[in-house]
Amino acid sequence: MSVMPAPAANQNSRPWNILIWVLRITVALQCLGAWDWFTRWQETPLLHWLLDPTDVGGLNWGEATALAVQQTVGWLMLLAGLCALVRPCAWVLGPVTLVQLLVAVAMWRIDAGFSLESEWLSPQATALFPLATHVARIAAPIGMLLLDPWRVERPLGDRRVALAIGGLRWAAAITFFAHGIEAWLLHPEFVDICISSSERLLGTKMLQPTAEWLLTIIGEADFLVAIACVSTRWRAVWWWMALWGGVTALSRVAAYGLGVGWSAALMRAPHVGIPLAVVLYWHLVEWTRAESAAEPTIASDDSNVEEG
Amino acid sequence: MYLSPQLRFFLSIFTLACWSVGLPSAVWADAELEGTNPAQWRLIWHNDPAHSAVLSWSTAEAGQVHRVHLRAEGAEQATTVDAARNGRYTAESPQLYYHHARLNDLSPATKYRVEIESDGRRSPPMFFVTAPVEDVPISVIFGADSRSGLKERREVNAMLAEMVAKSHEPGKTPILAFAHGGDYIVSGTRLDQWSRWMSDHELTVGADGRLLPIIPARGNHDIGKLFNEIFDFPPEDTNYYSVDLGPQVRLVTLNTETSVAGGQVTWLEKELAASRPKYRWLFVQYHRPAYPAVKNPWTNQIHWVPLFEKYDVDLACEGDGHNIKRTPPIREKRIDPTGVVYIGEGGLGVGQRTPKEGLWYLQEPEAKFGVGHHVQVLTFEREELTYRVVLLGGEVFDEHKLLARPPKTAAKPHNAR
Repeated sequence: MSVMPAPAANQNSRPWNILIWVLRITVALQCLGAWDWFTRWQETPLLHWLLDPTDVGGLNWGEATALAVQQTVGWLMLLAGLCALVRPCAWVLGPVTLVQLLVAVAMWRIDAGFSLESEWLSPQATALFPLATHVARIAAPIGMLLLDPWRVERPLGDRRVALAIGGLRWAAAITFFAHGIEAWLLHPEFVDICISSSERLLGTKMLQPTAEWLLTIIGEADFLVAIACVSTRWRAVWWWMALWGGVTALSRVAAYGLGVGWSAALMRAPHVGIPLAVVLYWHLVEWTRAESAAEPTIASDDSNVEEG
Repeated sequence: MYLSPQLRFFLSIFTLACWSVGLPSAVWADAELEGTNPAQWRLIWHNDPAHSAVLSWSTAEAGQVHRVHLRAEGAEQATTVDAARNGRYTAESPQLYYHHARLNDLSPATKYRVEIESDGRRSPPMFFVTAPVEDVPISVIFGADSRSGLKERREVNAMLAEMVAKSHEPGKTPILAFAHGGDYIVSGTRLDQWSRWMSDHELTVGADGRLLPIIPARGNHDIGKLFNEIFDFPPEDTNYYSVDLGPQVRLVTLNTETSVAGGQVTWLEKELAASRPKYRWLFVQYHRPAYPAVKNPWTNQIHWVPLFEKYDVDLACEGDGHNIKRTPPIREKRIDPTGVVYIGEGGLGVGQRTPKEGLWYLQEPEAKFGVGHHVQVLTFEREELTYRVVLLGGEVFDEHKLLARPPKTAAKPHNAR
């Protein structure tokens, strides 16, 4: 009879493995998207940060050097994506996190992260906006590093799991909130995605006022969801986030076609994968708790770490 | 007159400094922003430049009375036009004020002498010439991307002033205006950057005081309220509009930074449908390229280009790419003599990028591309449109001619020579 507290989630269960594979696939897909972005499309905030003169926030590298560096980073991202599927480790996921972070930093440095007009957002807030919109992409490999480490004894400690799930939860909330702001402020790119998608999918071109009305609703829904996901334990919120994250990611394909939009969609894989991982974790906690309840003398509940 | 060696030394340094930036018009540049001293003047053309213009300037203090003294060439008396719109630029720092005097009921092709006055302090005397209503040859300068490379930006501005002055010599086609394709500064919400741009823009004023009218397009770096405050657009304006540069030349300015697929497309189709039968020359300017030499095509390739082709736009002027390019005439993503020629892509100061020479629409001899700080001079005549790329220093990098399309709405050969 064990005297140790039972883990909040059973890490030997199939749902746990599904959770881990959701994260692995998420990171792999975002790496694949980044590879295409860096190597084929090339014009990224990272490149512009490397290229731009120092007086405008850039690093003033030569064009050939900057392009070569970005190409190399792109191919390494592809390699990292493959490794994330088979052998995730700090040497793989650390650089992936760093690249995602650098993209956001680049947008901040070259002032390319927030193109909207807002009187209620301070210049400091708008300057750091890319960190908010990109936090899910940064958090996905970190979460995976914590939940699926290489050569670390299983089961993982509850604190570690709680930290990972809590981090993913906040990352998703911040990302949804930031995108909600962009939708609510009628980001022209979002307006055009609505119009182009309706034209391609439905054969009817949505009018701009209709698209703007729709975005207002979407923005408000994103606010509510972002608040709900950090203040409640409704599973439905997380299922909705996963669904909506998928819809918005695929909207790039709907608007511009598969050839143009697939990498943009894949880079947003964490918008689906993170909510999915969190909701799977919570379902797993419930199941584990139910199992523990069925064997009350073996394990004790540890509700403090349940939600992170 | 005796000048001490020290004074002579400093005068020499000063003269050398002025000369080094190549500015015969340096005397006009960088008017002091102090108190209500008028500075950062700019003449803006919005719709009907034969009959109207906006003369705008900045002051460091709000002041009370802001006006323009206006006198048509040959007229004995000057009239006074009060600034119709005054206010503080939307920025915490620096604290500066804008003033816009809307000059209406002007006569076409007429020289107007102007002096700006704010609370009794006056600008130097300057002048501008309104657009013609006669069908005469005219030239327009197109350029974009002045957000970085500030030394080069000033040099290009000084070159513009010289080019404009020379174009008004007898026997030459006068340059009427400067169409700016966007990305004036790095951060559109930073007034310190805009302020420097506005001061640098004073260098486009000729040594004789000639103001070069600007026709502004918004670029991706020009976000925020300041753009509309600087160029006297209404606060919520989305910055797409048309200008008659003559009875047969129409410039349509589009905005790639607002919805490209929405109301702007509806407006564009109406505009092109109405303008094509009326004007011999119909050209467009906007910031992000549909046929880029370096970057990826913007979504205007999907939404605008079919309209350009449907209504036989003669020329599309693009920015953003930081290089020089001229495509062959393009229709339905193929080289087609009836198609639209795309030029650009911005070199008013920014560092230059290397064009992707493998692109199908950049293959010589039909196309031309390169790098270098530059402006593009478009000369519109009855039979042909001449396009010239002038590099900083005056060298002509590219020259190309387009024949006028037959006056029909249907697509007809648009042979390049």
